Amino acid sequence: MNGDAMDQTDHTEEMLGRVLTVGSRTSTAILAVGLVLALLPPTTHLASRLLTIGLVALILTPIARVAVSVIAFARRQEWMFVLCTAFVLVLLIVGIIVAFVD
Amino acid sequence: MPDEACSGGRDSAASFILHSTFFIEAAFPGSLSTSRMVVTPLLVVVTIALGGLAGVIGTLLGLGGGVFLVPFLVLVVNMPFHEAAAISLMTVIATSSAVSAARAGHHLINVRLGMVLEVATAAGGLLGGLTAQMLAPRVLQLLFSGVAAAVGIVTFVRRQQSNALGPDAEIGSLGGRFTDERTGEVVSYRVRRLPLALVSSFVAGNVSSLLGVGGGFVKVPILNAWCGIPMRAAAATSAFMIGVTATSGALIYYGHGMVNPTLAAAAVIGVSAGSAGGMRIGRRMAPVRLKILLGSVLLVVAALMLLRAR
Repeated sequence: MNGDAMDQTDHTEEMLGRVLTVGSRTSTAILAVGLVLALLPPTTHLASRLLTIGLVALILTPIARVAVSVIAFARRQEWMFVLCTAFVLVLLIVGIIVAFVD
Repeated sequence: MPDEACSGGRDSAASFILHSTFFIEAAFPGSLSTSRMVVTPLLVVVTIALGGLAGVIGTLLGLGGGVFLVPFLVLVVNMPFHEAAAISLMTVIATSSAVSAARAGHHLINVRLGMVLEVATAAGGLLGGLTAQMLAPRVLQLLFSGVAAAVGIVTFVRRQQSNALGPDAEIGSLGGRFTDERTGEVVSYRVRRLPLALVSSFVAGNVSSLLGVGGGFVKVPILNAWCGIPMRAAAATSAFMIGVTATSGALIYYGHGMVNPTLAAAAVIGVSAGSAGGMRIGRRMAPVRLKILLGSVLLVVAALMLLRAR
């Protein structure tokens, strides 16, 4: 039903899907536990730490997705797409540096 | 003057992102401070519920739902705008990741097109500070209200238009082909007017951090009405992109301690649950009905922005 190009895209898509699945499930699970702990009477240090880890994992997920895309396109030698994704990755990294170093 | 804070002779690429922290401050004076909302169990429950609602509608249409969540939080729980925007960007990332993870492998997401458009989005985000320097927040909101209304009307007018080509049609380097789960038919499409798609993505990135949205509400209708992309593929590709779009803004807000962790967690959980529901409904919904929903949503957004700008 699908041509060769589509099959290759399929593979990349599955790889990116795996990154997103791990990232979103992990972060949501950590945030859920953190939220429950934060609402229970004794305010613990653990709750706020879990919430921080969950939020950071959440933010890192799309960045990881872009990084994996760069690798995936490089493997297939699609240089135009490598250039596009690398550009986005660089901007995201600059964003991290500016947000936390500033 | 709101844009005093943006002066200075910085000219490196990083400075444009730096500007964006200033423009948030400029748009919402005193806002670059840590969260001030008092968290109560009731507020957490309401936030989860509002997130759930935004998640359902957003996922159906390929938006992050930020475009509803921000006004919901501002109007219902009286949250300061910047705090709502900060939380909203977190939920946009969550929806994007969860929805795209579930859809990966079904060909609905046009990964190549998404990657190309993300370049424009990233550039838009980079220049967001500059835009805000040139336009007062009120002008920006009025402009947006106008654009949303116009795009909403076009969505209504063109709701019967189908972008689907036959199963064996030539799709070009950026087109796509997927199996429609509702009808079981194979749908092919070509991307037309790529420059317009790039412009809409640029605009989406440009306003993302200022408005706390992923920008899907600009992209999806334009990709569908003018660029030849079927509604379902436009929504899936937009949903795939918005996580990256929202990340730039989320980094700024998070780095400045403006994200209330408890409420962000509540909103993310609500949105995740909502988007799981939205995906279920979306598979079975006819494109025409999706477009009518999208058109209505755009008109509501236009009205909300107009109200805020006054």
